[in-house]
Amino acid sequence: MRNLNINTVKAIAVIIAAFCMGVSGYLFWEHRNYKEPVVVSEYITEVKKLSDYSDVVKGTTNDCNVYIFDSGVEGGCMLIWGGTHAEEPAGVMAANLLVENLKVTQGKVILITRENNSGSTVSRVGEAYPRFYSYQTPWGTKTWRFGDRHANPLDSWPDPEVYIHYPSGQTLANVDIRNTNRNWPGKENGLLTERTNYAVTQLIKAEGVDMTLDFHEAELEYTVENTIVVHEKGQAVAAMVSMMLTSQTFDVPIGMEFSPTALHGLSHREVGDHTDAASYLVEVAEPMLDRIRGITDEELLMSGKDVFVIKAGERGLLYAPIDENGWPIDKRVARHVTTALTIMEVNNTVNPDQTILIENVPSYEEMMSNGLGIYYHNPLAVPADRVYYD
Amino acid sequence: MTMFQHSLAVIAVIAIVFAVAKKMKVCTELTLLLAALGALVAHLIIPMGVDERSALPFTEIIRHLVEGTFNYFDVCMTFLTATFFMTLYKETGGVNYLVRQIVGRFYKKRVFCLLLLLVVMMVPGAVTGSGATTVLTVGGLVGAVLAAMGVAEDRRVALVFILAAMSAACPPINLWTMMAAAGANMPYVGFTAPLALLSIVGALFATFYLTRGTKSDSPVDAVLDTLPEAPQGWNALRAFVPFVVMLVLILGARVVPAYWPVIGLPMIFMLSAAAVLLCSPKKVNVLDVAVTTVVNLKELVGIMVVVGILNQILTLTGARGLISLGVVILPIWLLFAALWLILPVAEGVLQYAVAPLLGVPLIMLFNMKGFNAVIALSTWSVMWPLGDCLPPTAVVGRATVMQLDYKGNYYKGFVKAALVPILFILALCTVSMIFNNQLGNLLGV
Amino acid sequence: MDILVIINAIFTILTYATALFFLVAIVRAFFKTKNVQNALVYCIIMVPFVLRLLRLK
Repeated sequence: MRNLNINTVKAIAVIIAAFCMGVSGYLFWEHRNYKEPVVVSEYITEVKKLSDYSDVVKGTTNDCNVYIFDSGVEGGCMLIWGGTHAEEPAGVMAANLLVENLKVTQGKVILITRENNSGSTVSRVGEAYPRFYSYQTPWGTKTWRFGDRHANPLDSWPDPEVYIHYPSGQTLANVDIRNTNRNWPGKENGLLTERTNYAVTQLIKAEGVDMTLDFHEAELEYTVENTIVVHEKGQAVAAMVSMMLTSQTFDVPIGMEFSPTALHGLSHREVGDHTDAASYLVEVAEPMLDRIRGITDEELLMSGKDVFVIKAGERGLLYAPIDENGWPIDKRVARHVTTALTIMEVNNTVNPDQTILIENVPSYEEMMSNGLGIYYHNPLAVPADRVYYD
Repeated sequence: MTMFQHSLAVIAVIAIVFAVAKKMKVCTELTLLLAALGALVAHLIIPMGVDERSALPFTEIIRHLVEGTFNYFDVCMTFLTATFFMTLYKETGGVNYLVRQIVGRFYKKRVFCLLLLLVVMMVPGAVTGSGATTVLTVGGLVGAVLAAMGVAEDRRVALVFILAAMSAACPPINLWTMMAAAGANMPYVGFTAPLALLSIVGALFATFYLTRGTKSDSPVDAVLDTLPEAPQGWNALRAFVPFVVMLVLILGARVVPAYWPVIGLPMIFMLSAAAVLLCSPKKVNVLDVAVTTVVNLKELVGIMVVVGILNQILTLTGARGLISLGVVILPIWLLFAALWLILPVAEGVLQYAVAPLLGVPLIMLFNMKGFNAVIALSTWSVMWPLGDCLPPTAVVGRATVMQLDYKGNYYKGFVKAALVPILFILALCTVSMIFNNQLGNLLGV
Repeated sequence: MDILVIINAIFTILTYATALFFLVAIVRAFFKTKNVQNALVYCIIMVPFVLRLLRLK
């Protein structure tokens, strides 16, 4: 009788476990395999793969699309990317918005929406994140994958017992080997994320990129917040951008910080050090990333409203203001897009030989008043050759 | 109902379910699972405040539960492989051989022997950042030598635990510091001196405090007679090769990182285990040893898996945020006065997840107040591992009890014996935290 | 392909093999145990191993 009981319990336990694994396994699979449609602007010149610049990422999850807008008129070249951290959606949405609308009339702009695509195929364990986030557009719902700060362990496992950054030799937490903003300038024969950054570095060199911009978001408890972090090469431009946007455009000021020389692996330090490009990184507030946040769901991610974070703000514990209006995604994306455009604009003045002229991108005011929906296009309403998948 | 009340109610439900399940003699692993399920039900039933919330479909609830099991998956792999390695070593007689050698050579040189044991204990945790790895690899061996030296059972379990905790805190690898520093975007630079100072002073105090009053006055041969014999065929070369393999694989990545592959701790231990099989004169059934390992580690790994689930649910429901907020809004004087208690207790609940949870907001807070965050984080990172003997997880404490085959009472015996050295280390860290700027100037960080 | 990339890939495969090895041991312990609570704990421990080996998570 006792044996029967234990065997019955075991059988029930296995059935329940199999059910849970089946349900969650399907959801994990769906998350990993969902493709984000991108309707490229009619003015795009070419869409390449990252592996066209270095075959070290060929056939991997991180062989992302590289969207090229070349005016054919001599000028500067800027590379902009989102998706370094898949838990920071404003960067992905801003890069996506630019890809879908941009027109370049002088110089060249190159865009990547998913710099560490692997990280977007898995949700971050322990953080209770949603798998996707969506935006209502006039033609329907547009959905992106929400993911991890680090690459998917299914693409890079195991981690070393300690991560020693190449080439500086700086010691970092072991999981940071899967964080693409900790392993610039990359390593040709390293793990996936190191090879990804190596390939992007080759892109920067091959395309003669003058400026790079890495879109991020940060928790409000974090000191580096609502700011442009810049390499020495771009300080004059960044200072002017910060002043212009703070005085004329943004309700919450955007600062400017120098890239620390002792902190290795970050794009604003290593891209500037190892290529000819001036490297910029821009941060905007995302309450979803705060450890002190309340209920974790897509609503918080998109609205940026959280009463626990507001409470911390009342106690003077935050580096960005927050009230009951939160930090909505429209504002976060609009800040990123506008910062990118202003960097180009100011750089045209400071370095006229690197002039880039663009059109067809909404202003900050337009994005804030119209919302973002009208700037994303229906993949079913355009010819198939304008639809790419990230 | 506000979100504060919602998250507070979720925490209350966790406490109630935990208490009831414990009362009904449910094991800790299943108790924590029931607490997580209770929290989920409470989250679904209780109003969530005035802000709009996303729907939480049934399939997503299942997904969150399963996703939580991955929280410490790599840590579980490390525990299993490290224990497998040492269980193989023990089953083949290697541990008996080494214990006899150490006792035979160093029994009479008591201070030297204790310092040697301290070094043996500190190295595995210092290079891996895991106190459990220390216990699971060399804890049993050191415990056997301490027993031969006449150290009472309670005290030697206490000593092995504290040395394991200090080894995890000791540089070069302190996982709490690394995780918190990574979360706050601080480089892992400047921590070596403060971490080494605090952890080594703590380890030295514990070693000599807990072995006080014991004497090495029995004849060596008589002591050796009390120890089990090692199987024929073991020699120094065979005994050391597996550890040399382990050290080479770990140190290689530090000496020539650009040319060294990423092996990972699980494979490092499995390759060391393979070295045991090649060197051992006695053959054993590998799968049987693996099953023994799993059975011995059932509680440890089970706790880690279930705490992962609980952590995921705490985050989902806002309870984690409420706890974190509760700590950082305390007045700074109260933090100085209470962190020695809060940090080990939180470690007992959340394990390494405590570093990003409390460490990052605390770093931000200390930075804002103009304190030396490197020194402050170092002091917390030495206090955290001391909580590894506290419930509900008590990971390193349980591992120590298991490895040393301790038969006494967990709290009245082991934890009580460890209390004075633990309080000494907590006091040392608290004083260092209060005088963070002065200590920072002294150490040049 | 660079030799280091190949060696890293081999260690990845070996790590999966290690996970499989311990999953087999967990399954054996699950079948052997006569204790209901232990059986449930083994069942929970199996979950991440199975999903990782199926390359779903």
